Amino acid sequence: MNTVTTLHPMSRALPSRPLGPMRSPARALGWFSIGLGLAELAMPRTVARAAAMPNLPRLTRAYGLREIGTGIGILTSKDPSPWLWGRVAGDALDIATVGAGIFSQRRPARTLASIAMLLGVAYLDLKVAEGAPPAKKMAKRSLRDYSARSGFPKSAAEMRGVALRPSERLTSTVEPRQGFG
Amino acid sequence: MKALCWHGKHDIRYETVPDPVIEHPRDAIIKTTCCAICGSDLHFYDGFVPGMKSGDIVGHEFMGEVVEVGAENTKLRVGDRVVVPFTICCGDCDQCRRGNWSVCERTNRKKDLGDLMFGHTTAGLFGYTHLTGGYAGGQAEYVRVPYADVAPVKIPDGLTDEQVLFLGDIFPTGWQAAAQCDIQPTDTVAVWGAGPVGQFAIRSAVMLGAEQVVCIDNVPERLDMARAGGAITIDFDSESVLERLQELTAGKGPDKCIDAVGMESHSLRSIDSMIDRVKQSVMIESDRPHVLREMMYVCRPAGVLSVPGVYGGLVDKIPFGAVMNKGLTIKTGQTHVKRWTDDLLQRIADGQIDPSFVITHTVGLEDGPDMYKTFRDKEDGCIKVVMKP
Repeated sequence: MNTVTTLHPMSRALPSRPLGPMRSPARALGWFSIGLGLAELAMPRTVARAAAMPNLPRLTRAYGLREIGTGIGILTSKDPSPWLWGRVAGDALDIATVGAGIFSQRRPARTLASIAMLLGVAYLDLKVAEGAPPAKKMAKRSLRDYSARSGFPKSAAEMRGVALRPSERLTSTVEPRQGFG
Repeated sequence: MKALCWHGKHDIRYETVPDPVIEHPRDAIIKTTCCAICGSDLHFYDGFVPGMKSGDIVGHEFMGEVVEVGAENTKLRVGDRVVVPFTICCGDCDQCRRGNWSVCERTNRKKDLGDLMFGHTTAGLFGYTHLTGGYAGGQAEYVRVPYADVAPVKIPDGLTDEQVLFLGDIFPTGWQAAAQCDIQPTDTVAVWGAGPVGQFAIRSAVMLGAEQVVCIDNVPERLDMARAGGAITIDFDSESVLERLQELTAGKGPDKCIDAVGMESHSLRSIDSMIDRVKQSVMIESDRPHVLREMMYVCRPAGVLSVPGVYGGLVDKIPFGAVMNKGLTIKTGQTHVKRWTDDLLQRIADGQIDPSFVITHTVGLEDGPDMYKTFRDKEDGCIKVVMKP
C-alpha cells in the first residue's frame, strides 16, 4: 500500500498488540464447530451416513453438542487455546468412532476416505492450536497512546458543563459569534 | 475525476468516474479538500446495507471549496469554503420547517423505496444506499451538492479543515446523542462504543454537565481516548458491564444510556450475541442489537436511551417489558445536522473543543480502499481516517 499515513502529532507509537497470528483461523474453526454441531443435532442420520459413522443418532447428537460447546468456547473465551486443543481431542474421538466401523461397513473405501478427511481436519486443528498464544501473551495493550487526546483546552473536569454557561471563549482563533452561516 | 466506489462486500475501488454537473439551479459543485470514512460506511462495506448498487460513489463526511453554483443559489459563491452535512434537506417542507432536518420529506429522490422500507421516507443522504436517494458521495474529488442553499456551513478563515470537517456528521451526531438525553447535573451517562461518535458523545455529555460519564468498549487505544475526554471506562472483555455500571451508580443504573455502536455489535461474550451472529448469518435477523438489550436492562428507571448508532432493519428478543415497566424514553434518528452546526461551529471557534483530536490517520484518497479495512479491523490504532483527494 502506497500510504503516506500521517499520525496525529499527539500519537506515540507503542509495541504492537500481540493478537496472535492464529486468531482468525481460530475464529473460523469456532464457527465451523458450531455449524457442524447444528447439522449433527438436526440431521444425525444424514451426517453419520456422509461421514461413514455408525448410524447411532444419539451418539451423533452428543457429538453435535460437543462441537457446539467447543465452538462457543473458542469464540467467546479470552483464551481459546484450551478449546482448540479440545477440538484436537474431539478429532481423535471422531477418527476412533469412524475407524471402529471400518470392518463392519459395507463400503470400507468410503470409511477410509472419511478417516483421511478427519485426519486433515485434525492436522488443521493441531496447527491452529499450536499457533494460538496462551491468554497471558494475548493481554491487550494500546497500539498507540491517545491519553493526551482530550480535544479540550482544559482538563475534562474544568470543561464539565461549559456548554451550559453563557458563551465562553477559551481561545482566539477567529472572530466571535457574528458572521457565521 | 477520481472517487471511491462501492462494488460489493469488502470491495471499494479508487476509480475514474464522470465529473458531477449542476442538475438543478439550487445545486453547487464542491471541490473536496477533506473527507473521512465514517463508522456507518462500514455497514455497506460489510454488506449489511440493502439498496447499494455497483459503482456507487460513497462517503458522506466531506468539505471543500465551492467551484460552481446553480443560478438560483443565492447563499453560496464560488470560492466559499463549506462543510456539507450528510443529510440533504430542502428547507421548505413541513419537517424542515420544524427543524427535523434528517426526515426532510422532499430530498429522497427514491421516496418509494424509503416508504416501502421504513413506512415513510427519510431525507436523502450522500454516498449511501438508494433507499436514501442514491446520491453520489463525498469520497471523491468533486461532489454535486443538491439544495446547496440550505445546509452547507460556510467556514470562516482561521479554522483548519481538520477542526471543522466533523461538523458534517460525527460531532453533531455525538452532540445530538447527548443533548437529547436532557442531561442533569447529577446524571451518570453511559456511552456504549468508543469509536468516533462515542468519543464525541462523551465530550458532549461532559460539556453538557453530566456528573459522570462511563464508556464501554474493548479496544485499548479507544478506551485511552475516552478516558482523555473525561470518561470512566469499562473493558467488556475483562469486566462485567452490568456489575461495573451498578457499582459506579450505587446500584441505581446509569440515568442516560447512549448506543454509539448500532447494528454491528462485536461483543461475543454473551449468549444473545452469539445467537444474533447465527441468525444474521442465515438472514433471519438483519441487525445485532446486543447493546440495545444491555441498555434497556441496565438503565435506571425513568431514564433515557439515546441511539445514534445506525440500525437498518429487524432486531429480535428486545426486552421491551423493561422499557415499558421502567418508563424509559427512547430517542433516536439520523442526526438533524443543521439543527446543531451553527452552535457547534461557534464552540469550535471559541476554543471549547478541537474535534481534530479524533483523527488518527491522514492519507490520500487513493489509499481509501486499504483504509476501509484498516478502520474496520481497528488495526494500527485506527480510530478516524481523513482523506485528502
